[in-house]
Amino acid sequence: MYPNGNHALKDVNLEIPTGMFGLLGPNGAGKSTLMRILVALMEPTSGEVDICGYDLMKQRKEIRGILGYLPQDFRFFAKYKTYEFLDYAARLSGINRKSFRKKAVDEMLENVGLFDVRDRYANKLSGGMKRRLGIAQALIHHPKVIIVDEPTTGLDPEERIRFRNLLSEVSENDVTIILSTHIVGDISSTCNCMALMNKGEVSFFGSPQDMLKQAEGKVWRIRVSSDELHEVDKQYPVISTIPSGTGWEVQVVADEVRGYEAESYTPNLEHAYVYYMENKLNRWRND
Amino acid sequence: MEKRLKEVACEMSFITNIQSVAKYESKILVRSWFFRIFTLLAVAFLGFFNFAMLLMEDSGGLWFEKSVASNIPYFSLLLLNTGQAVVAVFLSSEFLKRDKKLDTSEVFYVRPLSNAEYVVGKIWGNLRVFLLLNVLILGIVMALNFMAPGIAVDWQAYFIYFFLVSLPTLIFIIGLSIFLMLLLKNQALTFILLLGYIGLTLFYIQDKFCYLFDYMAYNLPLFKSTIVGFSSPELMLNHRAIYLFAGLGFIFFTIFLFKRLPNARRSHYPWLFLSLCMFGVAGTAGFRHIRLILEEGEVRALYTSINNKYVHTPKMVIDCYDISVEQKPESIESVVTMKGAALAASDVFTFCLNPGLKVEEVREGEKALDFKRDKQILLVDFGRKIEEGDTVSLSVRYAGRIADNFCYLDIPAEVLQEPYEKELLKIDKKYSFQTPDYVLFTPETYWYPRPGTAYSDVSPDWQQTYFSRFRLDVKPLPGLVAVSQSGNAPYQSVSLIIGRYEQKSFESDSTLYSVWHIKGHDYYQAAFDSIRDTIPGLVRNLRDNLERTYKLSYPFDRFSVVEVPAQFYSYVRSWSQAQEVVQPEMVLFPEMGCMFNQMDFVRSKKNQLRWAKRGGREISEEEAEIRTLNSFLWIFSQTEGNYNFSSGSRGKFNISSQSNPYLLFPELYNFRYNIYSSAWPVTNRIIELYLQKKADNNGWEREINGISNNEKANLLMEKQSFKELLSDVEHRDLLNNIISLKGYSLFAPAEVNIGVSLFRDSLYAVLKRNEFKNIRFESLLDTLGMISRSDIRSGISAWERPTPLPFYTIGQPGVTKVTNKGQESFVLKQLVSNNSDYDGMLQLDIQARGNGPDIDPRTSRKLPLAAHQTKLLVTVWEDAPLQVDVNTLISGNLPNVLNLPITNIPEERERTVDPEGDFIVQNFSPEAEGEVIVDNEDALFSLSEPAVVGLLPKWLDKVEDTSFKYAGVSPWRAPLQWTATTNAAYYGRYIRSAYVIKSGNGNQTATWKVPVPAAGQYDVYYYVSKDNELKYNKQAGGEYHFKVAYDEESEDAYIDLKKANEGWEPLGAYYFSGDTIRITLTNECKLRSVTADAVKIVKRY
Repeated sequence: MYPNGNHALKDVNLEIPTGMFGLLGPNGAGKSTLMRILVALMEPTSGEVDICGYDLMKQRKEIRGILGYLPQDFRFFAKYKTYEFLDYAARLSGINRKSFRKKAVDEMLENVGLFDVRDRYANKLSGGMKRRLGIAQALIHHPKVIIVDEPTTGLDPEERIRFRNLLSEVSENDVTIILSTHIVGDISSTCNCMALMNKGEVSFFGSPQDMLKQAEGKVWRIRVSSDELHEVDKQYPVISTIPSGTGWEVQVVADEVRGYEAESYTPNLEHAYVYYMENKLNRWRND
Repeated sequence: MEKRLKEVACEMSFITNIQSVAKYESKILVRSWFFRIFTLLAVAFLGFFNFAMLLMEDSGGLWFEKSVASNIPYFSLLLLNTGQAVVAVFLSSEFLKRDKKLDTSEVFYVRPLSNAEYVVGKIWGNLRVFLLLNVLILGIVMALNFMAPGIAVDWQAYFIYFFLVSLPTLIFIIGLSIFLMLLLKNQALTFILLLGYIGLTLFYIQDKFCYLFDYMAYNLPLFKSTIVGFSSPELMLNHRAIYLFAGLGFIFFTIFLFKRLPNARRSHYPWLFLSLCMFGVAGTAGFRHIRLILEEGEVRALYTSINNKYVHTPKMVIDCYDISVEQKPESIESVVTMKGAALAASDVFTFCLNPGLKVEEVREGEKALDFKRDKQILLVDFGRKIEEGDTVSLSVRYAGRIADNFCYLDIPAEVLQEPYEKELLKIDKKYSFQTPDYVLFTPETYWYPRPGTAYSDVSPDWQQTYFSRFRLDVKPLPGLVAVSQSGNAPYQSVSLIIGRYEQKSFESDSTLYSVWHIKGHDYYQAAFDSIRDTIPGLVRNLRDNLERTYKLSYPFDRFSVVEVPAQFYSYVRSWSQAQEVVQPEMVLFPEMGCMFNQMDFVRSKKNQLRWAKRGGREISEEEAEIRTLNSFLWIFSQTEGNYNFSSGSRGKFNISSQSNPYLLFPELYNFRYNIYSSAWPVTNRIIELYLQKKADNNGWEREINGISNNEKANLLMEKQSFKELLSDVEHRDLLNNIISLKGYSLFAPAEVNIGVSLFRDSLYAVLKRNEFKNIRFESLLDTLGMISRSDIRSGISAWERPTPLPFYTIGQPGVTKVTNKGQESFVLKQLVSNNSDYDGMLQLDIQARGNGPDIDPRTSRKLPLAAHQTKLLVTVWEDAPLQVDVNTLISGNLPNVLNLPITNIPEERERTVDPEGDFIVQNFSPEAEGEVIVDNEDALFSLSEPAVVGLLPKWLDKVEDTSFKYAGVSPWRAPLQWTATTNAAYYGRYIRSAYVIKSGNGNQTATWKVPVPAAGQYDVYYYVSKDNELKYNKQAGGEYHFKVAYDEESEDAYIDLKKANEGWEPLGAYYFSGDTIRITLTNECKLRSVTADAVKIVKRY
């Protein structure tokens, strides 16, 4: 709860299954707060959280034992080398035997493609490498629940794809990965279950397909002149504007389009997200 | 079983987690440049320091560290500890800041370890690196120590000091700094606060409040003797416990406050509880520490009050003591048989025995006597009246341990608590020792019953000590040897020393000279191999010198130097020069001579050879050994010891010296004579100081201080009576001077009557007649008064009042060479005036050439000078006198002593030689007509406002002693403000003073307003004095810049100091028509300092 009485999270009621779970929402929707509560960095003012049968209020130690966490900000390191950082995380997660730990660390470094830079100080790694080190430390102890907060922000497309694939691979091992993001693509390519958060509340819960379904027949392609473009932008939420010959090809989401020659278009998750925000939550115009 | 397994696993993970966090925290610390540089500096500095001290051939000094091997780790750790305390503050507060700053820290917070594991791990990580650094340094020091030839290694001490000094300090400062960091959430603020705290404890609080705040153990006495080890282990451990537990308290509190959700709800509360427990323990230890010290003060006050209660009760004088003592591991058992005479008729007589000793039985022959004990007092009831002068015999059986806090009841608490230190290391002050291996009881402990009471602050009656015959029978524990007085002469009191002693001795002129050293401490023997036969002669020389200097002979047939633990401390008493380190027939010398660098005989010998070589003259081994031995013997004949140099704010210096406790004067005087008065406790001291002709601090010391101790004493005596000053703790250090001046003035009339040397001889004769007897001061004065035909005793009446100080004008002595009929004579004339309303006395010493074996009485004499009297002193000499020294004794003159050299000797022919005598000059006026002098002491003199100084210097200045107006100044580092100082070279009618300031840009000025008697032509003069810069630096030179403002005009005037003569130097000639002129001197000068003294205008006719 903020000092002004507003709630960062309100009436959040979710049951997250195993596999990849996507938490989508605009900036400030409360995703990170939810994540921080789930990893026991913050205490909720009220409510209950149950993770793998453990009560978060009472059994933090047990929960911390089965959690892996990659925070949103993961840039600044103490003066540790890459393998030391991972070794430290492994030790604190209870991998006490030195030989086990060394093997685990080396394997993990291999998996995330950091073995060659294992002796480099973590601070000197590139942004993508740092993220990979981040996921490596979250996975080092084979947690049952992995919580990653905005992991792909700031990564180049290649690194982003690599990162998604890494998560997908892990998700096959009967674990729950909670991926918080505001990048729709992260979810569409990896998650089989997702929730949409807005203003601290869960406004959608289901599969990405369910979300797509709601947007079917609501995405339109309109060809307009330059003068009309302005009008269209005022009337409908515009997803993309592509110049074409004499005018513009515009994609909009709407229940129906009047006054323009519109052609229905097969929606993707991004369209569904915009449709949902605009029409279901009436967010688009209000903001 | 399963539960137990779980518990074990839990404990294991607790330790493993701590180790994991610690490992990586240590890594960060070791990788930080700050720590690396500190380590490098610490290793380099301490390594080099110890190398130089222990292994380098030509390094001198630090014998204190080398002679007592435990001091080597103690010294190194003390230095390291100060540094690491500062560094630890920074580095440990850093970890919380780092956790806050680094966003990656959160991935460790979500691990299953507990807050306690995390915080403790972090602290342990920091701590262990520092501990390793300590181990590394100690390892280096130990290796060097091991390699050093002739220096023992105290293995134990390395561990003990590590646990006593480093560990509690580190735990405390790390705990405190992370706690503050968590509370304040700001590293800079935490750092400033802690540095302030460290600075405050190091430089300001220091040993105040019984060194309670001394968390670094900088002031806590931790000296470990080679004879008795630590002398106050309880106090020491208790003090360190304060900081160890307070540190743990802070650490546990930090766990409680740590900003991370605990693993289980409320799992952090036990840490709060634990932290409060630790604070509780620390508080209790602190309270105990204060209690231990305050209780001592209370007990001491109680002892004194009990002494006061019994001080006037009847007592005996004991003629014969028969003491038999048996040493037990933890106590002594004694039977003392005394034969004495009653000093007053009574049934009950008062004795004093250390309150730690329990009296079991008192008998008179076969009859058991009733007795009562009131702490130290033993009241023996004979069951019948013993008439005055009747002789009785009694024996007392007692046992127990000596209460050390019974000693030195006369010494004020602040003096008792003054630190005893040598080269940074602090030593415990102990007055007696009683361990299974070692015993040292001096008379101060009252280890056997003595008649009367111990120190009383209501009556000096307690001081009345008598000479008795002693027979001592000691049964020490196996392997130990007892040392005491021989019993061949009467003593006022005796001491008992038991230890693993070995004796080295020789006999010379029927006196047995011995060194009693502890087994294994015979390092000194090898150093004097080649002069073994010469040693008796050298010792004889020392004895002859002392006997000649003080005109007194050594009365005993033995003399021993006995090695005692360095913690053994003695104080200067107001009533006697004798301190406890000097006992009849013996000197108690600190173990291995550790307090004296010249006791490093091997190195001293090498130094002697080297110095001689450097001086261009090679000396033989024997000669070097002789010189080395003499420098040791010098310890027993030098009057001052322990020069203490301090400098206040820039340019103000102070040097003080204490009288040397090892001076053997008491052997010649105090253990042989006793002068006693019921009214005045210091009568013995008066005679002592008078016989020693104790000179006031000589020139160089006065020059540094700007005022001598005698001068200070005079200024105090003007305000307070002698009686008040005797109990004035603040000016204890001046007591010698005050007493000595009182003695001089008391005997001055007698000296005037029969001459100084005759009077002294009379005093010696009276003393000799009363050897080993008590002399009443009043009757001594009567006897001396009769001899000298003067009323000395009446002088005492003035002691109840402050002393009004006369002021004298001392003229320049002039010598004229008169040749008459081929006969050459030198006529010395000098004018002296007493310008005050009080009669006074001067001491005149004339340094004349060609004095024969008989001392000319005219060369040293007292001159009475009545109020407002002027005398012309005329003496005639065969050779030209060199200098006249005038000591104004009790006077307001500054400097008190003027050394007036005679430079110019004009010649006059064919005239009769002036008659000798002291001629009273009537209506003498020192001022010449038409001459006006304005001195810096006058109201017409003013100084410019001082330059703005920072708050800190101002604050520091306030702490300085400002009870005396004049300070010492040095031209090499001149004061930044105008500072008053005195010197014979300055002008002044009574006070030859001036203001000195560092040269600058001319914005600081001194101004003399000079009244002009009448309009006319005037010569203007300035009084020039040359300071050390001009005297010793041939290159130095510069002009003083003056501005002469008159009749609305202002002219610049200059004096070239190098060319100028000392004294009145002309500034120029002016026509003044107005009634006042202003002469201003600026501080603009090429010399280092500028001196503002006096100006003079002289009208031309």
